[in-house]
Amino acid sequence: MDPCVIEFIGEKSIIGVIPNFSFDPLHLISGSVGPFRAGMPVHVPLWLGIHLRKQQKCRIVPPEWMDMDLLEEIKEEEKRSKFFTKMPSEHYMVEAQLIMSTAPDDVPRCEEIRTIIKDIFDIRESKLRTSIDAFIRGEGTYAKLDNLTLLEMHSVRPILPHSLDHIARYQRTAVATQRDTSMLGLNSSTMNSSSFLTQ
Amino acid sequence: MNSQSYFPNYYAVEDIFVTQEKVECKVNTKLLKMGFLDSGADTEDLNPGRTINLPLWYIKELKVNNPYFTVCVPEIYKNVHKAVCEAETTHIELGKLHPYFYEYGRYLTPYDRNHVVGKIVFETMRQRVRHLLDISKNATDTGKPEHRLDDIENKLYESGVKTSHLYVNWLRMKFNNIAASEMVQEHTKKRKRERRSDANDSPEQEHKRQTL
Repeated sequence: MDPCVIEFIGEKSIIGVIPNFSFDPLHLISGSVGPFRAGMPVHVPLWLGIHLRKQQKCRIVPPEWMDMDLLEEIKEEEKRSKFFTKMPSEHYMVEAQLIMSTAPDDVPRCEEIRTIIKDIFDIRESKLRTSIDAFIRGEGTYAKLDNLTLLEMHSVRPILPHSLDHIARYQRTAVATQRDTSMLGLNSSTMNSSSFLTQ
Repeated sequence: MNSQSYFPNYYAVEDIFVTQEKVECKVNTKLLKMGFLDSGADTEDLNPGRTINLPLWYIKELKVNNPYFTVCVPEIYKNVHKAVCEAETTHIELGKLHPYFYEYGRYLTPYDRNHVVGKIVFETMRQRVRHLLDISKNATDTGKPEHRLDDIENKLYESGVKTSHLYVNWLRMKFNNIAASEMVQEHTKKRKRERRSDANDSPEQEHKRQTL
């Protein structure tokens, strides 16, 4: 899956906007949005919010978690914990990227927040790396990775599953040979097919 | 085929390449009229004790303990064994040792009486995959990996580089348009091709197209 597809999925999340126009409700396949009243906050999908913001038709209300203190806390928690902590949003990277690139003025302390979110992502990424390391080195047969977001999974796909496939293949061969040398590399018909070499 | 899981399968061209590789074998029985297999032999028959090179695709169909040939395990797997013991597989240039190091080893595993080849192939892969994950993540735009890689490793490396490129481009908000998935693209191509061959079959349609 490409990052743009992940972005597309993330754009379905709901965000608050304050429109500066009035309009009837929009009836979309996924549900109705609106009605829009100038100055009244309304919940819309992220893609619509971004679209309206680009046309200067609304102001975006940043999600609650886009707050310096909260993010600072999450970052500390992420550093402390051995496991992945739950992120405030399933698509925090996508939301942050989209909101802060289209409407930097709507988010207070935008630059700092941008940095800290990248920090959190980097911490999680290196954690993922070390746990993959430990997993491949260790004898474990499965690993449990809770609270991983789509974009983070994307960073190790498809290379990791494919490598694990190959490793498992060679492990199977090695184990099978050790168990029974004569079972591998032959099939029942080989006796017949090779008999022409005898005298 | 885009997916690389279970990749070198029976129908893959890589599998054909691997099985073309020659394997050194010692002859154990006198084989009548088989002297042509040994270019250095001057007799019509193949005598016991001679060493000949046979393709892997032939050898792998024989029983492991067949009375005619004993397979000699290539030196490369012995050298690697030393390195595995010293835990420095990441410094070996696998591609130079053998372009299909892993697959070749996998086929030869049953013929190794000491059961080392299988273990070596497995351990080498296990150690090098972590290294591979690192270098593919930190690949630069033009840089090639400094070490020559095995064929399978190369494919994994390329897919890793592709992923990290896509991610970096997304962060910079470059080329962020969703493209149709490869499956859909292939399907459209196929449909177009079919339509074209249909047009060739019936001259009337051909004529119509020209007037358009």
